[in-house]
Amino acid sequence: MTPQDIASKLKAKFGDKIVAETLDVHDPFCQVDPMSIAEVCAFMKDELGFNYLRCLSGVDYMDKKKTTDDLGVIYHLGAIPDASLLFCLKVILPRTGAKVATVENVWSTADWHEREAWDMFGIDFVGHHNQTRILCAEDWVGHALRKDYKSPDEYHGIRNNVV
Amino acid sequence: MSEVNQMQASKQGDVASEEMLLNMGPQHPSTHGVFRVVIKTDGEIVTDAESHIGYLHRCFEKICENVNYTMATPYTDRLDYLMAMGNNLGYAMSVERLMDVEIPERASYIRVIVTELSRIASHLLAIGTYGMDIGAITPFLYCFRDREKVLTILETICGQRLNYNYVRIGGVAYDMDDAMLKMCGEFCKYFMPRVMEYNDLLTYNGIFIQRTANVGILTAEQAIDFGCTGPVLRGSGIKRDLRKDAPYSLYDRFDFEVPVGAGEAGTVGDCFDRYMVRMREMIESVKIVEQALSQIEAGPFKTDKIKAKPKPSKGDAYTAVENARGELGFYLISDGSDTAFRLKCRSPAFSNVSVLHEMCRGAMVADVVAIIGSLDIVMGEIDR
Amino acid sequence: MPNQFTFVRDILDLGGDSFWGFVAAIAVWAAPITGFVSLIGLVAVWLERKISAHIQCRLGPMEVGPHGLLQTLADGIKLLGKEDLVPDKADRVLFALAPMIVFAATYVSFAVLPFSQDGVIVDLNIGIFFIAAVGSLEAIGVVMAGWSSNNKWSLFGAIRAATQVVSYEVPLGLTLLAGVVCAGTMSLNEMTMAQEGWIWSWFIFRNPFMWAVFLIYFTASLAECQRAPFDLPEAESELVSGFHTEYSGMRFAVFFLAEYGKMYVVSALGVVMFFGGWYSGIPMLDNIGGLPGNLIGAGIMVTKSMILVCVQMWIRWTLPRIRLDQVMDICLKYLLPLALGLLMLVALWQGILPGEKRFGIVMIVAMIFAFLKMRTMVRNVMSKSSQQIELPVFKV
Repeated sequence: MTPQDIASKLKAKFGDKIVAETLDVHDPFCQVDPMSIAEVCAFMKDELGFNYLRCLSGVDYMDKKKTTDDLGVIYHLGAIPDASLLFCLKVILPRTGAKVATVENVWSTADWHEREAWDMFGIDFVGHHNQTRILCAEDWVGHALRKDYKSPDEYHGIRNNVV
Repeated sequence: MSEVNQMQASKQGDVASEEMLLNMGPQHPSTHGVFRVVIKTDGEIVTDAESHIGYLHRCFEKICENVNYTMATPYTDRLDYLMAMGNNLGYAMSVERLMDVEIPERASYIRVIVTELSRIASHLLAIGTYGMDIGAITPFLYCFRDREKVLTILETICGQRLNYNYVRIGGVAYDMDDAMLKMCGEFCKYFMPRVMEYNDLLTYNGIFIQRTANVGILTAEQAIDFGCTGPVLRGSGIKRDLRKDAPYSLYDRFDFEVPVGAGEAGTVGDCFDRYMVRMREMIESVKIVEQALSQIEAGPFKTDKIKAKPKPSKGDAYTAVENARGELGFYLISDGSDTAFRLKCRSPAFSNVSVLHEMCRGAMVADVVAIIGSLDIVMGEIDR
Repeated sequence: MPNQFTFVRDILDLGGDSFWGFVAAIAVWAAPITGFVSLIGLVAVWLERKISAHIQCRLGPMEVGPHGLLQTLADGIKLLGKEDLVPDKADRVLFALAPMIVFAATYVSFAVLPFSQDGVIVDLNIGIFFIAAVGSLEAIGVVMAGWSSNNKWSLFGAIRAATQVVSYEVPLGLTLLAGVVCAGTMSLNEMTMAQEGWIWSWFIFRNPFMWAVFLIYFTASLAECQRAPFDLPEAESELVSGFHTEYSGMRFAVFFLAEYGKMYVVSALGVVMFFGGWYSGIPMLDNIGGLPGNLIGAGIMVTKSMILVCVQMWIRWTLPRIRLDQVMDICLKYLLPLALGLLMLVALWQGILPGEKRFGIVMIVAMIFAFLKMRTMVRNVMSKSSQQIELPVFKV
C-alpha cells in the first residue's frame, strides 16, 4: 500500500475530516481534524492494518518570529511485523484550549505517550482515563516543551536562574 | 471491610484479608535505577501494579532545542547509557536523513561494528543483572568480565567507556586502525565459547528456569498494543527487527538471524523467552561484527560534505534504529537553522515498561522483580 | 559421663549447689563459647568472601592483612563505631530484643555441641531435641525484628521466614529422628561414640539410606539457616534486606553473627549425626586419649563442620533464589514424604542389621563407583557442549 492509496482511502472514508495531505516529504502525512483523530486511527488500525503506534509527539510550532503559535500532535503509525507499512497523521491545535481526542483506546501505548504530551505541552486529550503528569512532578507548573516556557525561579526551595 | 463483615467472613471460612500497598522504589535494588512501582498485594500475590517514572527527567528534548546539532550528540549518549553507540547512530541518522547526505562506506562499517559491540555489552549487562534479580550473583560477574573486554575495545576506539560521543553526524569521530579491528576480531573469537559458559551457569539452571518460565507472560497482541519492541516483542514470538525488516546503514549486507521466543521452557512470551532472545542476539551480533570485519575496506571515515555546524533543510522526519531495547526513534523537525526546532525521542524502554502493570497482575512479589528485570529497562531513556 | 556443671563448681569451689555457684559456672563456660562463636563468625565471613570471590573469578579482600584475613575484623570495628539507628515508629522494645533472641537461639545450641570426647559443656541426654527446640526460637526473633521495624519489606521478610522455618522444621525433625534411630540415643556424645572405629562405621555409610537422609537434612538445614537458595527472608533483590532492613551497626552485626553461628551449628550437628563427629575414621588416631586426643578430636570436628559450612557457601554462590511457593512445594511435596519414608526404611534396616559396621565398606565402594560414573557423565556433557559454538536448542 503506497502512501497515495492510504491517503485516498482516508479521504474516501472521512471526507472533509481529512484537512490536508502532503505526500512528497520524508514521512508522508495527512492532517486530520482534532476531534476525529480517534475514529481515523481506529479505521487505520482495523481496516488498513496499522496495529502499531510507533511514536506520538507533541509539537509547539511557535517560531522565533511568532508567525504561528499552534500546537500539534504527530502520530507515526506502523505495522508489526510488516515494516514497510508506514504513515503519519498530524493534528494542528490552537494554543489556548488545545483539545484532541484520545487514541488510547486504539493503541494502549498511546496512554503514556499522551500523558507525556500533556505534561510537556499542555495538550488536553479528551477522554483519556488518567491524564496526569508523567515525567515532571505532579505539582509542576507550566509545560516545559512549549517555546514560551520559562523555568521557575524556585521549586520547593531549590533555586533556579540564579546569576 | 467493617469488623462485623470480617467476623462474618471468618465464620464462613474465608479469611478476610486486607490488600497492602507496597512501594517498590525509587530506591530499590532491583528497579534498575530510580523507577518506582506501587504494588497492591494480597499476601505475596500482586493484584495490581502502577509504574511511576520521571525521577531521572532532565528534559533532553528541551536541551536539544537550545544547542546546535553537533552539540546535542553527547546528550543522546545519556539516554540509553548502556548502548550509547546506538543512540548516537540513531540521532546522527535522523539528522543525515534530513540533510540527504551519503555516508562513506568505511564509516558505515565502523558504525555497525561499534553498535553491535555495544549491543553485546548491553545484553551482557541485562543478562548479568537479570541473574542477580533472580538471586544468582555469580553469573553477573562473569558477564561483567566480558563486558569489560568490550568496553576496553570501545575505549581504545574512542577514548570513552560509556558515553562515547563517537558516531557523529556525517560519519564517526575517529578512524579505526588495524590494531583496533584486530582487537574486535579477537574478541569475537574469545566470546563465542563464553556464551556456553553463561548457559551452563544460568540458562540451564533448574531453579532459574522455574523462576522465569511461565512468569510474566506477554502475549503478542499485548506486546504490539503497548508498542513493545526489541527483545520484549521478539520474546513474544514476533519476528520484528528493524535491522532485518527495514535495513538501515549496511545491515542488508550481513547474514544474521532474528531470534524469537518459542516458549522453550514454558509459554511463549514469558521471562525466559525474553532472556533467551537476548542470549541468542549476542551470538548474532558477533556474527555481524565478524562479517563487517571481513568486508571493511580503506576509505574516508566521515563525509566532508557536512560542516562543523550542520544545517539540515527545512522539514521533518522520523528515523528509527534497532537499539538493544527495541525501536529507538528520533522525530526531528528542522527549521533550516543549525539548531533542532523539535527533537522527540521515542525511547523503546518507555513503551516497554508501560506494559508492566499488565504483566504483574496475579504474579508474586518475587516475580515482579523477575518481570522488571526481563524488560531490561534503562531509566536514562525512559525519563529522558 | 560426669556432670560438667558439678565439675566446674568443684574447680571454683563456690559453695556447692548454691545459686551463685551455678551463675559462676555459667559465666565460666559462657566466655569460651562467646569467643568461639565470634571466631567462627570471623573465619566464616572471611571464608565466605574468599570463596565467593574465587567462584566469581575475582580475588576478594586482599588489603587488610595477608589475603585480607583481618578484613572482617576491620568491618566488625567499623560496625561497632556505627550509629545505632532505630526507626522513628518502630516498636523499640521488640526492636532491641529481636537480635538478642536470634543470637541467643544460636548461642545456646553450642552448649550441647560436642567438640571432642570430653569437650562438651553439658552432655544433655536429649541433646538433639534441645538443639531443634532452641533452633526454632530463632523464627520468633526474626518475626519480632520484621514486625517491630515498621517496614513493609521487613514484614514480608519476617512472614516468609516464619513460613519457611516452621515448615522445614518438620523434615528436619524427621531426619534427626533417623539419626536417633541409628544411634539409639538422643545424646550427641553417645551418638558420636556409636560411630567409633574405621571410617565405615560412620552413620552415613553404615546404613544404605542415611546418605539420602543426609541430603534431606542438608537441604532443610539450608532453609533453617535461611541460606541461598532459601534466602527468601532477606532476599536482597526483592525485599531490600528482608527482616533486617532497618538494622544497622552492632545490632546488624549480631544478626550476622547469629547467621554464621547457626551455619556452624547445623553443620556440626550434621557431622555428629552422619560423619562420625570428632572421630577421624582411623582408630589409631582416635585412641590417643587424654588432652592431646581431645585436641585432635576438636580439630577434626571443627574441620569437618567447616567443610560443610563451605559447601553451604558454595551452594549460595552458585544457585539462584527459589520463589516462596516453590520453597513450600519442595518442603511439603518432596522433602516431607521422602523423609518419612526414609525414616521407616532406616528403622527397618536397624531392626534387621543392628550395628553391623562392616556394611559401610559396601556403601563406600558403591558411593565411589557412583561418583566416578557421574563424573565421566558430567565430563562428557561438558565437552560436548563446549564444542558447540551454536547455542543448542533448549530442552527441559
